Order: sequence, then structure tokens, then C-alpha cells
Amino acid sequence: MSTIPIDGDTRAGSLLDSLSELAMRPYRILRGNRMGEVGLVILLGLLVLAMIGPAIAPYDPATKDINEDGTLASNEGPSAEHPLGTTRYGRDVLSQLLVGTRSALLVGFLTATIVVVTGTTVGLTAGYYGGWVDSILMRITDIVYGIPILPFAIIVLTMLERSIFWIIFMLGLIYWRNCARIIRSEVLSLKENEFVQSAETTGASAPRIIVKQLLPNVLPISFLYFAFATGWSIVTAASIAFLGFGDPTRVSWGRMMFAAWNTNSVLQQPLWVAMPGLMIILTVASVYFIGRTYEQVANPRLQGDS
Amino acid sequence: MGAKGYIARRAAQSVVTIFVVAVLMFVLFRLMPGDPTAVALSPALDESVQQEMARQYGLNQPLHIQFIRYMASVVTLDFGYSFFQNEPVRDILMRRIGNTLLLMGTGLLLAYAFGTSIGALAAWKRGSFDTRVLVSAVLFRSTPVFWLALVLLYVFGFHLEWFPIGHMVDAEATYSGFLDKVFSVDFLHHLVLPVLSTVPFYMAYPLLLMRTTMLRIEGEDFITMAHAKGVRDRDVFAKHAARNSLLPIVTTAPIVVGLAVAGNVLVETIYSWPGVGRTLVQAVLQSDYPLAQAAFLMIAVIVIVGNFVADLLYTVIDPRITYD
Amino acid sequence: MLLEIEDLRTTYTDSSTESTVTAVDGVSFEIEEGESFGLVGESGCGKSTIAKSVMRILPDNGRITDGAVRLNGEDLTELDAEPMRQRRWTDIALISQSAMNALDPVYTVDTQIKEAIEAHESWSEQRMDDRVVELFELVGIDPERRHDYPHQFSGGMKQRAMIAMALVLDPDLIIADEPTTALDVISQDTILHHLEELQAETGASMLLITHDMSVVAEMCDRTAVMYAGELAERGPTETIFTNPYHPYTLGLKNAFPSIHGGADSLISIPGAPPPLTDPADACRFADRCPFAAPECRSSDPPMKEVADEHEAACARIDDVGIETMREQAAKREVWHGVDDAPDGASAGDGAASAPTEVSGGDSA
Repeated sequence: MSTIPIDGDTRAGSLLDSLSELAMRPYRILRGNRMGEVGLVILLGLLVLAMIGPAIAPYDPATKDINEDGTLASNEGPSAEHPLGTTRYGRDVLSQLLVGTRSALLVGFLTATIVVVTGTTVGLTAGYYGGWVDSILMRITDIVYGIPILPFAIIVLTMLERSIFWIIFMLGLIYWRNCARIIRSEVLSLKENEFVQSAETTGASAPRIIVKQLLPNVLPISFLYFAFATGWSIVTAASIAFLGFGDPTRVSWGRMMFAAWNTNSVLQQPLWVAMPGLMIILTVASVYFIGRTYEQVANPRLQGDS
Repeated sequence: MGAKGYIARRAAQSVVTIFVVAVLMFVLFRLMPGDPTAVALSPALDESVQQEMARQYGLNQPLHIQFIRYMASVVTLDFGYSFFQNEPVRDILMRRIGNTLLLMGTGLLLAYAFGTSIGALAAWKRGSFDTRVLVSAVLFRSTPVFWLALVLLYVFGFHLEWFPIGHMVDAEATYSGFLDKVFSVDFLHHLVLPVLSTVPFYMAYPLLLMRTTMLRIEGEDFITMAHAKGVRDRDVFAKHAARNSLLPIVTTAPIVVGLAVAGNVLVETIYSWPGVGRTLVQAVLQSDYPLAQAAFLMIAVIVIVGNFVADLLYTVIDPRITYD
Repeated sequence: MLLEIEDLRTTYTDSSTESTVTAVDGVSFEIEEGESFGLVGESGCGKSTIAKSVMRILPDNGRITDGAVRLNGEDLTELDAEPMRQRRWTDIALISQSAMNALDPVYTVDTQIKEAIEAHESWSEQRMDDRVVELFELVGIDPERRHDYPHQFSGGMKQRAMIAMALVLDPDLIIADEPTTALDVISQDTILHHLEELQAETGASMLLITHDMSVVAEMCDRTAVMYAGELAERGPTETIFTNPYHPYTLGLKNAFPSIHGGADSLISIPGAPPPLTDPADACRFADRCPFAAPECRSSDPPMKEVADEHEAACARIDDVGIETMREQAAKREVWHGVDDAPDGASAGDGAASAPTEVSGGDSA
């Protein structure tokens, strides 16, 4: 009995160590690399915006602005009151842009979490156990590769509900496939290593080897895929929203562009489309820059997906 | 196992994948909470028409009968009539699949041609050219296809009026057949903006991958050896460095096909391109579910066949492949 | 004289730290027509860099900064890119140290041999094929296998194929860079004998680069011993082995098994070569040398003639006396006592500093 807590402690300890190492390593790597630094600064800025966006937005993004003569302030250009102009329905573009930051990062980070947790688990399990477990998991991965994500999303959201929850869930359920494949192949080569084989001969249990020996070694890949999946899911979620299948209760950059396009307002109010697009590019590019820098410095052997 | 056995096995796996995706669709369409007919049938239609359609499409049958009928329709490619266009779903899609493949194929072809050559050049030349290419590629990869499509549409279509703002050909133009249409200047003129909207996004992936692989391959001994043999620089670059870097490019092609399928849905919608993607979006919005279901399956088949073709290509370009 | 290397200096620059490593620092030697010349030294001493400098196939960060490489009297370092390309393989061929990876995996072996021909000659397909068949027979591979891919060859076959490839255009000089390192002992022996025969048959000169003293002893007419980017000793192979002069050669000889003594008589040289980033004006072997004196650390000794056609770069030969030196060097405690001596700390420092592995540099 007495050995169990000790085992548990060391297991938690080494995992904690590797997690904190994982948290610090990207920082050390990014520091001194221009591309990585730029990405990090932009992402931190966006995180702050996501937190305080609604507080600093000059207007409620849903409030329609009525002119003094009683008409709707529709598709107005930039002015002192509306630095980025108004929408077709007289709503403030800047406020929508600020509030939309939260949706984008929420979708990005939550989806990436599902992707990394699922992908890492599947990759580790398939790679470590091999045999029929591997066959089944990899066939499932093949099948998921056969699902075209945007068309699939359109149908699922129509059948179920157009909500941010389902969008995140569905993107996470598809995008783990790349992560799982790469982690599996990494595990296959790790298994050849001495330290894993010696752990096996000393009779360590499978879950113990997976958690203690393999997981810490694949965590850098998981981190990388966290960055990439954040980027993919923000772009895909915006595409879904642009086609009109986004969450109608939330202000998002994708839905801003959907509304602008659908009301034929792009020529009168180009900022309504240009700004959310630029925000997406900025957000996604920042996580890709971080991912690529990390990939180059931490593990040049990987063939990145960014 | 030899190459033939390997290919046969991959083909069988592809068929299984198509089957599983088809079953998934059935589940999604029929097992949703609530009355399946309510989900499937447009509430805009009046009661008697709804009843008649439910009967015609077998929606009031027990589920297992519905499933058998559905799988039979997948195998025979007979998906019945569209709810809104009085025409068999198969005829509608057959007319449009060519348009989709044409747009997607052109985009992918250009993306791979430019992506691999620019990526290879960046790795070969290095320095500031490489940095500029790298940063541009990451920005391309971050730019949503629909946003670029909108920007190009408004700048070159509406504003400058250099290119048409939608459709495949002029409304007044008549063509004797598909090939006649495709090889017309009119068509190419319509093709420019949709293709330009997708190429940057599609090409970023092969570009970045090609660059990374080239940088690794350039350090290989056989590259030094080729130089030592007195092989000309451009041949070392093309025949050895670039040729070897193509291997991962082919293995990852399914990822790009996946991107292209999504991209096509978006540009078809924006440029009113009569393809399968736009058909899908419209069918879903109109609750024209036989059409939506079949359009989705057709897109899935494009993806799955794309994956299979990549497998085939790989057996051709890598002599070391082992079939286990 | 076929090849004259005069005061060659080659450097590598590390782009991230901007530091420069002088991998080859003022090396000179000559190779006569038909001669087999050995260049021996530990890995990382700059041997392979000399090979790459002669062929001018240094990686991007490598540069010849000084000296001349004359082939048949023509200075290769002065040539433009295109004439230099034409000299490669027609005049100088290379048998690389890693035959395993020196063949491109996506082309058949005969394609790769023909590629070398096509880069220089415009032979007919038939003539090229005949030549490949002839060479395969010469190196002892079944010509039927010429259309195989490299991965279908065993290690020994790849090495033979590399030799066939080197001979294809009848070069004047063959540079064999660790030609057998990757092979098992039996294949090593057969390949070496084969190489010797073929060289005699074709009349080509050979520069054989190796870390293995016994290979040189068997194969070469003359030998140069290299240490930390410089030559330590140069002379007829026979006298290098029977009457070595440089303490490093003495140590190297101790470290290799001979027919006379078993494995237990081997004495390793303690310590590691100094880093080549900023070489001091001193004998580079001083920190590991049991005979070092203060003068060894104040100036780098030049090569001077010690016997007929035999030179060594050591300032202590006359002071210690060569007979005493050889006698002392054969004793284990003389070498391994250095570690315990009061000034052993500096030797320890040398050993602790990072080995001078440079990207693209020498590596075994």
C-alpha cells in the first residue's frame, strides 16, 4: 500500500515538471526570435482585448444608432462617434470588432484543447499498444480524414443547433486527426528508445510508461498542435459563420462579414468586412508564428501543419 | 504484400470510409431529436404537400426500412427528387460536379505548382528572400478564403470592373457543350477571381512543407555527392533536392484536398459558381434534404478519392515504400 | 606532381553566433602521380574538410580563406564555378565516408552513375550502359543488379557501387574519405584490398583519409598525421610507423593494436583536442603532451625536417632526444600521469570544453 502514494507522487511530479518545462520552453524559445516575439506580443494583446473588449467597447454592439432626424445611422463611414463607421442596421463596427475578439479566442482555445487532448490520447494509445488497438484507432482516424469539415459542420449545425458549443465540439471532434497521426508515429520511434525498453523490462505498467515516459516526450508536439488547431478552428468557425450557420446569439467576426455580405453593404461600408477579416488574419498569424518558431527551434524534425 | 495488394487494400478502405460516412449522414438526418419529418421538410409547405412528400420519401416508414432504402439509394446513386427543383438529385449533381472539379482542380494545380517551386526556391536561396516568403506564406495560411474572395470581388469585380462578379459564363452566351464552354475566353475570364481567391490559401501548406523538407534534404550526403560529381547546380536542385522533397508533399496532399473542399464551398457561394458546394449550402438553407444529403456525400467522395489518389502517387514516387 | 596543397586554410562560420572555426589551418602536402597518400587523425581534426576544400564542395558556411590547391599545376581555388565543376569527377573523384547516405534513394544505382557521365561527357546511352556493366564487374557486383535502387543493396554493395562510380571517368585522383568506416570488419578488408588493386590497375593517385592507423599502414606510400587543423608529422608511411617523431604520432600508435601486442597494451591519449574557434599561438597538442615545456605554449612550432623526406612539427625533439621520447611514450604512466600532474588542470579544461564539432565539418 505504501508504495502507491509514492508512485502517484512521482508520477504527478514528473508530469508537473514537464508541464512547467513545457510552459517555460516556448517562452525561452520565442525570446530572441523576431517572428516568435511578434506573434507572442500580438496574441497577448488580443487576450487582453478578449477580456476587456466588451468593457471598452464604446457602444453595445447590438444597439441601433438613430440619427437626430430619426433615421437609422445605416452604413455610415468613419466618424468621431463611430471610428470604423456603422453597419447596415446602424450598429457600431468598432464595438462589434472588440466584442468579437472573445468569441474568436474562445472557439480557438477550446477547440484546440479538445484537439490536443483527443489527438494525444489516441496517438499515445495507438502507438504504444500497437496491434488491433492501433488498427482500430488508425482506421477511425482514416475515416475522420474522409469527412469534409465545412460541409459536415453546415449539416450538423442545421440539424442540431447553431450554437458556439456545437461549433467547438464539432471542430474538436474532427481536427484531432492530424495530431493523433503525428503523435502515434513519434511514439513508435520513442518505443525503440532505451529508456522505454528498460522501463518495460523492469515491469512498469502500461499506463505508467505512457504517462511517465511517453507523454512528457510528446508534449512539445501537443503544444505545437495546440497552436495550429487554434488557427484552423478560428478560420473554419469564421467560414461557418460567414455561410450563415454561426451562433446567432453571439457577436463574432465571421457573422459580421456574413451580415455585411448578406445586406449588400460591402461597397458602401467596406470597413465592416475589411476589419473583421484583418482581425482574423492577425489572430491566426500570431498563433502560427508562435507555432512555427517553436517548431523550428524545439523540434526541427517535425513537418509542421501551419 | 506487393504494390497491387496494397492498392487493393487502400481501395477497400476507401470504400469502407465512404460507407461509414454515408451511415453517419443517415444517423444525422433521421435520429435527431424531434419529428424527422419536421426537420427534413420545409415548414413553408402546406400540410397536404408535406404528407405527400413524407410518403414519397418514405419518412413515415420504420427506421430500419428507411435505412435499407437509404443505403440502396447510396449504392444505386438514386437519391430521388429534389424537394424544390423538380428534377432527380442525381441529374442536378452530375451537372455540377464537373464545375466543382474544374474550379478546385485549377486552384490545386496552381497552388501546388507555385507552392512547391516557391518553397523550394526559398530554401535554396535562403536569406532575406526566404524570410519574406516564410512570412507571406504564414499570412496566406491565416487569411480566410471567403475574405480574400470578397476583397477580390469588390476590388476587381465591382470597383475596377476588370472581371465578372459571378457565374461561369455570360448569361447571353451559348455553348454547344461542356468542353466548348470550358475552352472559351468567356469562361477563363469568369474563372480568374474564384481561382485567385483560393490559390494563396491552398499553396501556403505545400510551400511551407516544401521549404522545411528542402532545408533538411540539403544537408543530406547525397546532395554533397551530387555536387562532387560535378552535376550542375540547377540539376542538383531540381533532380535531387526538390525531387526528394516531393515525398512528404504527396503524403500530405489529403490535408490540402480537405482545405480545398472547404474553400470551394465558400468561393462557389460568393461567386455564384454552379458547383456542388454552393448546391449544398443552398439545399441546407432550403431544407432540401435529399439534395443536401447527396451533395454532402459527393463532396465526401471527392475527399476520400483524393486521399486514395495520394496513396497511389506515393507508391509511384518513393521506391523505398514497403507494403505492410 | 599531381596535387599540391600549400598552406591551406579553411574556416566555418556559425551564422547564429558569428564565431569562426578554423578547421584547417595552414596545411601543406603533395601527392605524386600514382601515389597513395594517407591522411590520418582523430575525428574532428579537419581531414574531411581538406577533402571538401580540394573539391570545393564545402557547405555554405565554409570558406577557403588562404592557400592554394594545385592540381596538375592549376590552382583550383582560383577557378570560376563552371571550370571547377568540369574538374570534379573527371579529374578528382570522391568516395564518401557515408556510402549509406551518399546515394540518392529515389534513383537507381546505374542512373546515378550515368548522371556523373552526363555531367561531363555526351556519350550514347549504349556506351554509358556498357561502362556501368564493366565497372560493376570490376568492383564485383552482378551487373544485373545495376537497375536496383540503393535500398536494395547491402552496405558493402553500396560501397562497391560508390567505388564504381568514382572510377567511371578515369579520374587522376581519388579521394577516399573513411571509405570503410561504416562496414563490418570483413567487408572492410575486402573493400580495402579491392581499392588497392583498382588503384594500381587504373594508375590513379589516391588520398586516403582515415582515423584508422592500420588502414594507412596497409595502403599508403606516404602519410601525414593531422591534429586540430594542422599537420603534426609527414613522411613515408614506413618510417612514420617505425620511427615516428611527433609525440602525437607516438600516442596514436599506442592507441592502435599492432601485431606485436594484444589489446591490453593499448594506451589512449588522455584529454581532447582544443577548440578551434580562436587558436592561440602555441603547439595545439601541448595540453595533452607528456613532453610539453613552457616554450610549447608560447609559439606554434613549424614543420621541420627530422629525417630523409620526413618532417614533424615539434619543438621538443632535440631537447628531449628522440630515443628517450619513444622510450617514454611507450609507457602508460607517462601519458596517464599527465592527468595527475599539477598542470593537469589545464589539460582537464581542454577536455571539458566542447568538442570542435562544426556543422558541415569533420564528423565520423
